[in-house]
Amino acid sequence: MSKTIVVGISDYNIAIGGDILVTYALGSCVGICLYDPVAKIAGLSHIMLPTITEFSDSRFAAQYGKYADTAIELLMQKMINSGAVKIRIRAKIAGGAQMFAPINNANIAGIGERNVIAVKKELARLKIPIVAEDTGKNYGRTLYIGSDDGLMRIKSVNKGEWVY
Amino acid sequence: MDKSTIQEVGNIMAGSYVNAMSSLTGLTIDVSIPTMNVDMAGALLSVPAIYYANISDKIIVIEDEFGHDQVGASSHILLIPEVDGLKKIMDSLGLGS
Repeated sequence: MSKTIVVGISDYNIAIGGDILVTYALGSCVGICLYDPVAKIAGLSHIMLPTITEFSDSRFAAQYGKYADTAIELLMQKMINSGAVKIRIRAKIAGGAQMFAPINNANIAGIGERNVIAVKKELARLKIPIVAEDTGKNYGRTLYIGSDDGLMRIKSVNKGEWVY
Repeated sequence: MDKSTIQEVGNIMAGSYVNAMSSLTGLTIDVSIPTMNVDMAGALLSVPAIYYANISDKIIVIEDEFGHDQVGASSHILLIPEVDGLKKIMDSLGLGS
């Protein structure tokens, strides 16, 4: 019996043995699925912001799971520690929507798109290929990834469901 | 049609609360153009959550209820002020820390 592991905002986790990872209601945030098809280890990260340098506040302890340029490497490392092999890892990404009409706040204008760009840049730096992508547009997504098949399932409200 | 109705109701309600707050505090408050969307609460709230990710964890929640004959609908208004704005509001209400 596989169990479902919930990944919250600014969180990341891995699943093995047929367990399923889920993160609910990705809006402008981006969900990054990593998968090693041989070891059958899945990883999921739910990032909120592009970079730690640009968006962290020195008054508070940094949450490394919150930023694209810190979270993905930590997730990858966690998978490797559990037996995944780096060159086998593939990525699938989803989210980064623009939930509201453009607003006049330069700091977070187009934050969804900037999150997606930052995620792609970080995956390129880590040399992890992206094999599927469901990003942008204007609706929220709930994302599942199974550790047995590595399939990314996306559910939305009234917009449909997809499997990648 | 239905969406623009909801947007207008939201606009009027937000406007009323902002006006009330304005007269209570004596502050001039400008309202920008409203936008709306219907989706998962988490996905919608991720937008202000991203904006306030590092700077605040305070919001003002107002629960309200609409009624018409036997039909009723309750809803929530979440006012999420900027940190500086919240301080101004609290100061002018004599509640500054």
